[in-house]
Amino acid sequence: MAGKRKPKDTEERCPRTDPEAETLCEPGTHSERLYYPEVPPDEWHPKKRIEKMREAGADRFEIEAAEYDYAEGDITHGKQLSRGLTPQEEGHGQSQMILAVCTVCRQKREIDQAPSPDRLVEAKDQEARFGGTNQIRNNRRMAEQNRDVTYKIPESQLHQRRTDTLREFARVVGIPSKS
Amino acid sequence: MSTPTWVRFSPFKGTVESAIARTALLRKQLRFRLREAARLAWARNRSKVEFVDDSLVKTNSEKEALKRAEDWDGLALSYEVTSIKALTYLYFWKADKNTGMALETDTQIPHFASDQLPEGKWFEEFLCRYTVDMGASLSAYGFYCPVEYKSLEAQPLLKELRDGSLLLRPLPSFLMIADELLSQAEMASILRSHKKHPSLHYRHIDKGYHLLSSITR
Repeated sequence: MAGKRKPKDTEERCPRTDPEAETLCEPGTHSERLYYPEVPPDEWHPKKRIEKMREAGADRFEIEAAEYDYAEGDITHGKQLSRGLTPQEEGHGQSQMILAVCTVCRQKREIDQAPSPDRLVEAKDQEARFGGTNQIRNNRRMAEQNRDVTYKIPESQLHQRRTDTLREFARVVGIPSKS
Repeated sequence: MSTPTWVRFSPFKGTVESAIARTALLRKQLRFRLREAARLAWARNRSKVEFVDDSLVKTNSEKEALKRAEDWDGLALSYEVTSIKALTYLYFWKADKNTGMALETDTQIPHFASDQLPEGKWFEEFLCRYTVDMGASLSAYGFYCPVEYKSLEAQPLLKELRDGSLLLRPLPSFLMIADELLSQAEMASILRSHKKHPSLHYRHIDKGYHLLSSITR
């Protein structure tokens, strides 16, 4: 009787029979669904949520983007904004992040703002790195699946080369700095 | 509002190739699988190192990636950590006779927990092992560690530690300092004379390091 054949490296391996084959989807090939955090009632109002973002040590640009979006009417409930934990919550608080979870490989990633399950907003300085590149690939995939993707970036970065890549699939909005 | 994902280190005394080789065992034990490589390049005015977006290549061999990177100023490697199904990226760049290095995770690794490990324990242990294996005298992670391709310098960190301000910085926070930079007696004196955040824990690691971390919950 023939023994179990070891698969070659180049061969497609079946996750049902080979645990080592269980692998994450390639960046940009996920099928993601958005999940909102359980937000305390005293943060349902966006202004209160933004105050907590400050307490949690969010950087200046993230706060400015959240304030801008609240003023524009895009954000109407605290759950639409992700935030880190405050010093009081550190160590025991529940995550307050909006998550995109792949329904195939279960990989999770954080989303900065989600006005609705079909609309996501990334509000950040676009520092070039692998994580940022993978985020762009995953968000491009979201856009291909008819989700509305927006990048809020510092106004000073609007003319950078990387911003042209974002414009291929997303709406790009420059947030003026208050300082 | 994302979880910080960037870790910085003091420079490695050696080549990019030898820096990558130093953690081969750790990567094998944690079942790292190389997926992609990318180029790092010094800006024209040599003011900073930049990640070159359109240089990504698929590869599953460090040897092959190093060969491709022979003429590059630096190399970034993207790994799937198959033992926990997550992504980690290692960065190495040439800086004079040394190698600058940084590490990036996906946003879930700092929160990873299992039946055996509380949240953050895996990440904390990984950073400790990586720092020790690389022989780095400093490593740091947290809100005060912005994304930049610059090696950590000891003096500014030690100054903030000595005046106590570093102990009250926003969390999360992780800092490893080799004994050669700060004696155990001086560290004990700093901890006695300054208030620290209650979730920031101190321990001395046998391998010769001070560890201040809030990562494990």
